[in-house]
Amino acid sequence: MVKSDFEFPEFYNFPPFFTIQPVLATREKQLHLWRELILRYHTAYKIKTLIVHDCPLWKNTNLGRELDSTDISIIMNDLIESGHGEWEDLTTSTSTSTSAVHTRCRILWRTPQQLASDIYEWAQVHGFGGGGVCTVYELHSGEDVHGMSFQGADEELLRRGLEVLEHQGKCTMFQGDTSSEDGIKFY
Amino acid sequence: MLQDMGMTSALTKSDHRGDYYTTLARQLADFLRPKLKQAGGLLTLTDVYCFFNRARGSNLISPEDLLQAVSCMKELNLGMSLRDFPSGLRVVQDESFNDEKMAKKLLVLAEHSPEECLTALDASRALHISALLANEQLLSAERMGYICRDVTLEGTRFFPNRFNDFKWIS
Repeated sequence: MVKSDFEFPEFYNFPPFFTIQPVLATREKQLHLWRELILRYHTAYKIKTLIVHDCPLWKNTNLGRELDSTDISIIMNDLIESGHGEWEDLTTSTSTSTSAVHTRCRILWRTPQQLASDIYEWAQVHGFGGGGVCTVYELHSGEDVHGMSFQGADEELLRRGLEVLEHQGKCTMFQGDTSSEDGIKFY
Repeated sequence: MLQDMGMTSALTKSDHRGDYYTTLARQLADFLRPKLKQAGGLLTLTDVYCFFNRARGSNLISPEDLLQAVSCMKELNLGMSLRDFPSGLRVVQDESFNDEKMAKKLLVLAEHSPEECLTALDASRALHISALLANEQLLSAERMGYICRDVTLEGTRFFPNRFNDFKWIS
């Protein structure tokens, strides 16, 4: 898919969007917009990993603006801190520097915490509350999950959301014959 | 010429040791009042130093004396006072000068300009003040959240702060 298929928001053509704002209050709003853009773009094209030096979002050719590497670092750090991004590659040290060199970032449209509350809400609505049970498979591919944020979700991400729920005492997990038959009991 | 300016005598330090600075401050304030108004309420200390000494002709005051005199203007209620900007720029400011009013003025200027932005030069032309002061005012307006910046190789331009309004329309 070509970048031009995606409908870019108005702020993508606002020149200051490409200058990291020095005034903190303004910067917060700006970083929030960058996060939104990254999430929506990657979700629209179903791209699970953002490769920092390859990401087409950093440059707007029509506007004649682009972010430099310092700006990109600020935006990436903000994304990671928000819980919507995770570095896939480990810290590496080269002969010239021992600073972390991260290039691949997994995009989390919903954070584990958000998935947890989405799942729990769905469970309540569909009558699983108070002891109802369903399988992991049903959560990502069942008939009742159409339109839910966790529909079609990576099993690993789903489990992380479920772990959060377990931690909150809202469910317990138990093993099934196969991993997709592992079950969740909701409270 | 000194008499025209309202100065009946050029004070020297040896004359009135004790209230030398107080009297100098009053003299300075009287001298500056019309100039301050003309400049829109702000003058850099450097400008004040030049104007004042040029008018004096002899018995020039030193930069230290100027600073001392200006520093006591506030408590003497002379209608103006020393102000330090975060950048280090020091000015004499008329007490009626309002930062917020100036920020709003700059916002309107930006909104009505052809490319919807202002450089320090644009602002200085529009407000009839030096580019240095104009830049300081732009920075002040930016801190207050009225405008935001766009930095390129050609320089810095200021836009209305639309970050407050942008929402994703899905």
